[in-house]
Amino acid sequence: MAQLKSARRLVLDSGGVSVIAEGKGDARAAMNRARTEGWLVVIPAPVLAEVHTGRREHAMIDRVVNAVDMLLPTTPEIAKLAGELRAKSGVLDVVDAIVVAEAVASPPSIILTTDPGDIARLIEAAGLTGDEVVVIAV
Amino acid sequence: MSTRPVSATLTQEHVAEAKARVGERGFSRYLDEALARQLQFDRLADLEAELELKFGPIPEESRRRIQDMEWPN
Repeated sequence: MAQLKSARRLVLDSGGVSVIAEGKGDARAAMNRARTEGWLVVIPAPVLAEVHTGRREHAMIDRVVNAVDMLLPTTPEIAKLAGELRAKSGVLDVVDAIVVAEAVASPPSIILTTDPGDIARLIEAAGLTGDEVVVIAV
Repeated sequence: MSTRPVSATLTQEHVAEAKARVGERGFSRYLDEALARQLQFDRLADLEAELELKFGPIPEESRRRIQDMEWPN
């Protein structure tokens, strides 16, 4: 599966997962483009702590979670990178920092988010250009 | 993940081209990776179909906005 791991990634944060589950057009269009252009659609596992409730009325969230290509378990390296990005950026949100760490550790990546401000600050803290990690606000 | 042998009928030219690329020993892995990619594609396609049933087609405006964005290579 090495080939799959090195592929380009569309990373969903909790807002990204939620708006797909709510059927929002831009988010669905981004997922469709990612699929048809061969991008992997991934969710860092800690995002589940924000979106998974186990309630029946949130079944569509679980459908999205089960359909994506990979749930990324957080390695110690990613967790450390997330810590550094939080320290440099001043953004406190741990899950956002892990989402960005996953994206910057494996460029090129796109982050689908409803919180572009914090995500952009974390990317800036990583010292990356917009060519390697792109943010789509939905 | 565990593996198991399977019997399948494949197009001769595809098999020859794949084996020329990855060798006899790399063939199973190559095939397995191709299968994994197809399954990923189909799982997302199923989700998209389900979302379309529930919410209707993706609005053309959204499609255009996302398509016009520069995505990294």
